[in-house]
Amino acid sequence: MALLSLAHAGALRLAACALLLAAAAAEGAEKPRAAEEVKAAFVCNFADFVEWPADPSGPAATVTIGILGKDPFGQLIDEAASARSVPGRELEVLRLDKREAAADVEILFVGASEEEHLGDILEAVRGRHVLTVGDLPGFATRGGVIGLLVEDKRVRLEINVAAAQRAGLAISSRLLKLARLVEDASPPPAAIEPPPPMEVQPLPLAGGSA
Amino acid sequence: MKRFQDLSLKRKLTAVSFLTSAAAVLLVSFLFSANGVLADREALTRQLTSQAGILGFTVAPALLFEDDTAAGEALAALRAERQIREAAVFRRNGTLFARYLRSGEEADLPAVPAAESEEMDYRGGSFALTRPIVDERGRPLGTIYLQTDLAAMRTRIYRYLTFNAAVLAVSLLGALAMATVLQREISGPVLELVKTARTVALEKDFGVRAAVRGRDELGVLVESFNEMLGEIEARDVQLRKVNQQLHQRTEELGRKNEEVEAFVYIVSHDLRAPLVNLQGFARELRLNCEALAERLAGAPLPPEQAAKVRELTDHEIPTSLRFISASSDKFERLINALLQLSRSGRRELTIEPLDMRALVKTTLDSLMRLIDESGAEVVLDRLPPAHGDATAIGQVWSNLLTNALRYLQPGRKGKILIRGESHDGFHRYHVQDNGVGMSPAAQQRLFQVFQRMRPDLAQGEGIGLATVKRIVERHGGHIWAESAEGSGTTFTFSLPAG
Repeated sequence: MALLSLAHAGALRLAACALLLAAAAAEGAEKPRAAEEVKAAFVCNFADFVEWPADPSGPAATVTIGILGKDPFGQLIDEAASARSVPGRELEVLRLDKREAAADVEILFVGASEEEHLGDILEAVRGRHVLTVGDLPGFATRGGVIGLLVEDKRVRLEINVAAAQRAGLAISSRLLKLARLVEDASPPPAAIEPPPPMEVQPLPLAGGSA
Repeated sequence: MKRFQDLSLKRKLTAVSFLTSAAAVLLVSFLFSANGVLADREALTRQLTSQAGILGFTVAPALLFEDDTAAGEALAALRAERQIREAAVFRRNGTLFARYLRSGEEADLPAVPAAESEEMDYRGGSFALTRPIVDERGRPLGTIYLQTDLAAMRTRIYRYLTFNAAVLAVSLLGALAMATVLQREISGPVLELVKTARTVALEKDFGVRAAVRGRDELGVLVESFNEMLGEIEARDVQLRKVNQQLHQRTEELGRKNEEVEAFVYIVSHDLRAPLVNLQGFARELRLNCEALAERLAGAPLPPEQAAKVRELTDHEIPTSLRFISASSDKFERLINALLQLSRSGRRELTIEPLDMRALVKTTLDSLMRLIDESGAEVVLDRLPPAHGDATAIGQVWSNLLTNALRYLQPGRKGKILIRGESHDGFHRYHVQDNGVGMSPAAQQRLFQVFQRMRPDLAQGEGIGLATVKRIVERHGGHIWAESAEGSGTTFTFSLPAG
């Protein structure tokens, strides 16, 4: 709230110019991140915008991320997960070698190598509260919940809300707003259980809908 | 500019109450204005902070998922908030992520936003605020920057201050009006009192009264003042009455005194004619008696008869005639003295500068025979000059010196000292002798008419000192004597100097 004197303002402006230059240099020096790094970060971010139904045995403190198929991230996702972990809300990354294990994780990343087995994998987690994420082309339209695709050198999201409902997951509207919403390409099999009502979080600010 | 002390009571009272209320109103107005401005500023800060919080929450996912388009759209919602001039979201590393600029504005973004800051810039008419954006887990994601212009706030403050100024002006006018009206409560009775006092002072009219309005201290004051006036009025009436009586009495006394003087004069004067006759015929009778004795001396008478006749013509008749002459002489002196006394009281005085030494010398010359007879030594010392009637003052000297010479102690060389000095606005003259002196009782009657102290030592009528006293007092002076029996007397008379 300081009212700056003229001299002060001048000095500040000079400092600001210097900082601007420094910032520009830093930006230029930063090499564009690989798509995998971004994806790894996104996968970890999903944990904050999805609600899993409460476990009767008690709230799960840890969100487990399972990677099925060939791991495209390597160390990147472990780093992202540990960077996002805070006491009481940890993220754990598991590499799964068996499809059956996929049903026990909260977030399941299906690698590109599993394209042929996608139907089986989705079948394996049917009825389980698993957020399926994949970067296969048309992952979401094929029944996955969130698909990651690269457009214009940017990673974009595709969300199949129906799939999320089937898995009993509530996806935050704030996340939905950022994503392209897609539907199943083929009529889905009948739901085993009725979908829980989707939790809609009220938007604090009007306008600017995606 | 008049000094406050010299202002009229009305103005003073008005000024006191007006200034008091004006000070209070000004202070209150200032405090309210300051509070209003501060509160408005605080409200603006709060509003912008909450807006930044909401926006931060909205753009947090966009930051996380690197969707600058979504962030830009979220910021574009600020269009609805006309006073927001510019908004921006920065990434955690300080690079610009998304921005909003009100149409027609020039960009004024900070290069590297502080994590959290508030900055008011009144010159630019803007207020900028920076707040951190955190994710669900409370980790910092970036910062949001909002800049609003202060036009709305300025308008509000301007309106507020204008309103305050209007209220202030109205209050001051009201206070002035109230002060002007209410001061009459106090100044009214006081002014009434002043008017009454001036009337009393100028017109000497003690009959006026100030109107009593209330039962407060002023009322008591006015009542006391009226009581005082009443008292003064009563005394004034009484004083006038007494004065009048006194005046009447004085006039009466003056008239009586004149009558007495006239009576004395007339009596003395009228007694003179028979006296002159008496003296003349007594002289005639003596001559006749002498002639008769001569005739009878040659007449043939029997020796026995002749002896008898000689006894009558030579002794008896002359003795009787001598007694008659002596008595009529004394009578004459008495009448002369009375006339002199009467004249000394009636005669017009011619006041002129007097050389007292010369006057005393002349008087001593005329008394030379008496001085020689008494063998006294007369010393004339320094005498201050005086103003007075030469004849009358000469008579004073003559009487006092004659007195001193007459009452010298037999068998002791007489010594008379004449001196004078100035004292306290008066000139004092002393005649000091070493004569017989007087008893204290005698001193008390000294200046009364027909009082003789020592008839055995000198003849006199007992009028001289009374005449002296009368003359001195007619000159505005005093006379007194100090004496010790057997060792002398000092007469002192004073005359006003100048």
